[in-house]
Amino acid sequence: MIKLQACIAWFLVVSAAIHADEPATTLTTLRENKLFYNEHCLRCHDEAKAAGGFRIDELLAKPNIEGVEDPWMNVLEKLVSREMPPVDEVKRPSPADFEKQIAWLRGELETSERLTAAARPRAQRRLNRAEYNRTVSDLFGVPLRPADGFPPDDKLHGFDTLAEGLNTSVVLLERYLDAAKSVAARVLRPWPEQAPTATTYSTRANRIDGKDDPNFRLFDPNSFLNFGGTDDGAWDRRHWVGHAWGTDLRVQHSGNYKIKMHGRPRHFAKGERAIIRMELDERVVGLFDSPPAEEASDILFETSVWIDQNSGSLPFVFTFVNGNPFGGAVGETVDYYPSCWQRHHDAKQKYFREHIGKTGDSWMPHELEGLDIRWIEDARLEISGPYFDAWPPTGFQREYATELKAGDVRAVVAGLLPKTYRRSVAIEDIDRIVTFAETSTDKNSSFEDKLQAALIRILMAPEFLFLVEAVPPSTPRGNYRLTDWELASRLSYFLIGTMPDSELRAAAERGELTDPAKLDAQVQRLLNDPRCSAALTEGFLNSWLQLDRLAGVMPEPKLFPHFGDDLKRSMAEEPKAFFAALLRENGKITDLLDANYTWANERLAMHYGLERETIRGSALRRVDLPNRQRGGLLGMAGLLTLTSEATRTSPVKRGIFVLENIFNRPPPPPPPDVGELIPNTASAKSIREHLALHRESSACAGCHNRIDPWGLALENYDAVGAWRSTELAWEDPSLPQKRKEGDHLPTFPINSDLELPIMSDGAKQATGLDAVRAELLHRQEDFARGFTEKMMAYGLGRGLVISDHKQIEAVITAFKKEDYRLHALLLAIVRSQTFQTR
Amino acid sequence: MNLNFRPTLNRRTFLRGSSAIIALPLLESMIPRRRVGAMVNGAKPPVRLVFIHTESGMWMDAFKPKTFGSEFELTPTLEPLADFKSDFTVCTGLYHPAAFKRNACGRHCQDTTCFLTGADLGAVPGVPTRNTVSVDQVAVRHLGDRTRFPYLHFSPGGINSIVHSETGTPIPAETNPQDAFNRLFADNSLEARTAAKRRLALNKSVLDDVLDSARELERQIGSQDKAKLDEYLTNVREVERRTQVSEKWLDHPAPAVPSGAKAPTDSGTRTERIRALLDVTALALQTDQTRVVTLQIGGMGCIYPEIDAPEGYHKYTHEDPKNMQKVDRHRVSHLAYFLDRIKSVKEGENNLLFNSTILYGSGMGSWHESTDLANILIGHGGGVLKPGQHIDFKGKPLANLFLTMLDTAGIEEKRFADVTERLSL
Repeated sequence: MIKLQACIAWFLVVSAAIHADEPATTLTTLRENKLFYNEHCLRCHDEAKAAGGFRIDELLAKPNIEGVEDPWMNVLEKLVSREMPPVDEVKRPSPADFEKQIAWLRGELETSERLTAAARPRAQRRLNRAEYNRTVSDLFGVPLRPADGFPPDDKLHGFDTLAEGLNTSVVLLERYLDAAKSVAARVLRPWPEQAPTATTYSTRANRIDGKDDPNFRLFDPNSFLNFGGTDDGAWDRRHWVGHAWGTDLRVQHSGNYKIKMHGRPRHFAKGERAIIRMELDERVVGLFDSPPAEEASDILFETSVWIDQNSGSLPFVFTFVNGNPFGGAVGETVDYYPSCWQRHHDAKQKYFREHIGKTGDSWMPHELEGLDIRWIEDARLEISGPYFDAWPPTGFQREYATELKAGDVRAVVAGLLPKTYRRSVAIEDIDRIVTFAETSTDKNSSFEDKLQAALIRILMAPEFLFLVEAVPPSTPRGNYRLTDWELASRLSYFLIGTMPDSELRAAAERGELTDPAKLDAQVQRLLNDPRCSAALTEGFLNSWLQLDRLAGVMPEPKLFPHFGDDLKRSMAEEPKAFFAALLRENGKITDLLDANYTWANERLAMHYGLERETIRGSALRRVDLPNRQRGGLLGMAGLLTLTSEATRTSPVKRGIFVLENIFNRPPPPPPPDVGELIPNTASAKSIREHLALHRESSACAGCHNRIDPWGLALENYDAVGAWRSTELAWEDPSLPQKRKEGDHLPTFPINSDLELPIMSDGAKQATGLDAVRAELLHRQEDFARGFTEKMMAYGLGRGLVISDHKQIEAVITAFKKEDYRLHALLLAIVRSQTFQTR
Repeated sequence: MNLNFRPTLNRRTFLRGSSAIIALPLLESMIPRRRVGAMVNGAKPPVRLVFIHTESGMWMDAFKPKTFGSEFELTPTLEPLADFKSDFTVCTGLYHPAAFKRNACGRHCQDTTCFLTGADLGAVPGVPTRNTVSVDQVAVRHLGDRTRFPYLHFSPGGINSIVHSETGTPIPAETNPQDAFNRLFADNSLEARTAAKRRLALNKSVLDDVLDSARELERQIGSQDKAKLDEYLTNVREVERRTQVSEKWLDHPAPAVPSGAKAPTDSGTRTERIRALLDVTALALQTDQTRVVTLQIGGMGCIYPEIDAPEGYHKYTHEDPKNMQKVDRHRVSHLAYFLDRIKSVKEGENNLLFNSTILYGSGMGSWHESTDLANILIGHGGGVLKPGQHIDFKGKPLANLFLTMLDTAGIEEKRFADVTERLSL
């Protein structure tokens, strides 16, 4: 009850503040404003011309904007960006007229939105997959990933944190049930009184005997390194020559296991390192770089990983990432052999023809002669464990050791519930779960069975699955001040993508988050938490740039023979590493537009033509760039590849990327029935010429004049983002298949001029990426606005609406004052009224 | 299934016994004994629907017959089906116009995710892609409650699912033939069934209690702010209903393994795994444990060293028609293997193949082309279909064929995706 009163008091304060300048309660008529549109728009947007498929006369025929808010919203956008009326229009409105119209139209749209707000339901937001995984892991103090098997979440406006897009389905509900059961069983699995002692297992040459180890076992131990052989056919299984090998692993006890791989990289250049990828249970655990090849080290890498007890079929797979390109799946490890790819390809074909399915998978050294093959000498694996930091090892069982020993269901539930529901709980809440545990199990069920039932029940509760914001009935939109706990959840899921940690929970419990200084302190603390850069990189950046899509791109192997998995992975990592560093170091977002550094590893260095001698191995690091070919998002190969087709670049996609992702002002979709851009095969031309022809059609010109120039200026980067100075003529996609060997398409030198209708002086003096960067920096305020809008939608968990305008402006002002430093933006969003109300 | 000796239950008995009033499925124990007897003793057996997808198309030059009607010639890719020539119809000239036109997720994604939905993925503003229900799940809507398993969905793994729920959510496939076999021919011992019952009972009480408390929660929240919470409640209710159905099925012992059939063993090559999945499919249909099966016979990343095609199929679809058609033919030979299995199962005067309607096809043709798809309709649909032809449908929606397939199983749907008419086949 006390809470409710506090809430009402706040509500009065907030509503008083909101209603200070008496918002309009009805829409005004168009009458006086018609003149402006008649004069400036009607010439092109009437019934006869309907330029760009848009007609203003239809809008003006109505008494007010009611029912046609969306097209008016587009008009507002065009006025704000000064894109319309066009610059070459003889009678352009004066700056004052622009502002007057913008103010009027925005006011109308806000009024309309307020008037219809009551009819628009607002969704409660559920946890998405990543949040579910992190939340259960934090809740029980063990790494858990039950949500990996959930159906993918919808990305509304590009993000999977938007309440409206986070649907539930029967499939999801069934998976929730499975997850709740497996998590409950997993965290309650009893630990023995004492920690088991660690043992060591080694595949040292003579010990591959399949003998059962009391602790763990590699099933099918013969699969280990059986890509190797000697000339006389006698196995010694010491050399790792092939691409990947794997086995099923069984461990008897959960715990930390040390994995040590021995071996010496051979046929590597000085300074080069062997790169090994380790996968456990079909997830990449890590990439490991060996010491430099010339070092007399016998250890390739060492690592420690938590492995759960299992009954014996955990796939455990090692891939020799920069090893020889034979024997693996297509597309793997061609990365490091660009120069002799074709030679390898032929040998591989021959090898498969002659060996696979006939003589087993063996590799004889004589088969490798004359080939530029890298291998690992005397390779072997050592596993030891389990090791523990403490006993019992899991957070949950340690935290509730007393209660578990006492067999007290109620005490465990009482401790767990506020964390799970992310609010303070009443006795009734606890009663409910305890009663459930009693009634849903048999009378003589054990304590563990009852607790398990309780945990399953808790994990299925809407209070856990949803970030419930309990707005009392008939509260006007925006007038509900979130409770401290609700605010703590919003804040926590925004910045670290998981449930509030103990400090934040304590602050919420004490009601401190209403105090701006204390709220700021919490935000500052979270911003400096490494979980923040990790969660926002995975959650925000990944979605914003759609980096997940890279996994599915398949550049035509004939045209891009060295595009392999390692390059693809490195490409996806570059923007992430770049952004994560910006977040950690509170950098400026303008670095995303232009920078004299990037984050790269050896594979990217090869791709970018940087000196790979100084950038060895798989880990990305900050690299100062020697020239202007790279730097900033638009010089990153991953984004250039994402915005290309399988066989060629797509300046249109790249242009749309700039408008949509940099400025958050995506062009409208093409009108129906325009079809795809078909190359003119009769006279193969450069893409620039093809697109110029395309823009001659007035149906296309309106938008493509805005889109194409950005992409055309990036033509020096091919379809996998490599630098080029000439391009292949563009032709019908089915032609390369039919072309005879020896036929070559004509090539053209690249023209990468930036030809925008309006351009800054800096951009005019430059070409290519430099011109693009100059222009983007010139328009950095627009970028900051687009970026702010995206980040706000992500953090608020909803799409922005016109009435958010003032709040957005306030956030941008605060952001700009701090030179567009990321922490300033995140702090300003949390401070904004819209973040703290619903 | 020993249905003849079960006492007849009426719907009312069920309703009185269950905690909530829900719409119950028509279980066979509720079918009057006389009708069950009639069914077993030779009245019309049910029609089974099977949907088989092969990813990344087929090499059309080697697949598409040049002649039409019943005199069509067997092309190299169709040759493995020679023994069944009068059991299938080659349907060319069909595609998914709505999905094709928007091309919201690229041709590859469209191939799998739209194959059975025909959806225009970009139709919802603000959402890049939103799928709709797949045709097999529409069939499940009507037939699902009549068998122990509403449907089965198999794939060799590593492929986007072709099956989508009522809300367009992809439903992951089962990949392990042994697990599927064990589920189909489950342990009928009292112990095993009691354990299964206990598991379901816990599910039910969790859902019941969650439903109660969620309703209380909803009461505290303004009606405008409940969106999505309502959706969650609806789905909890639906899962609860399904749990109750599964519970009832526990009273029906799983059928015995048909004589001669063996549990699949650890499968080595892709060929063995696919054939094991097809074996399980045949057994499930034969014992009438499900009437709807979807199977993804191969992905674009699949390699087939066993037929000397060791590189990914996708690569072949880009540059190597010779190897592409080799894999196509290989996959069709799996189909022939399956047809052979089900044709040998006698059902009344006919056989299981006669009583099935099977689609085999892809959402692509050659070179990632998506306007002329490779599809074969197999089986007689219980006597409704007149197979043994090659028909060019000249650009009609593939969804039309789906409607015709549903018809054969007695499912009358008027609309599905971009359907324009029913096809006469």
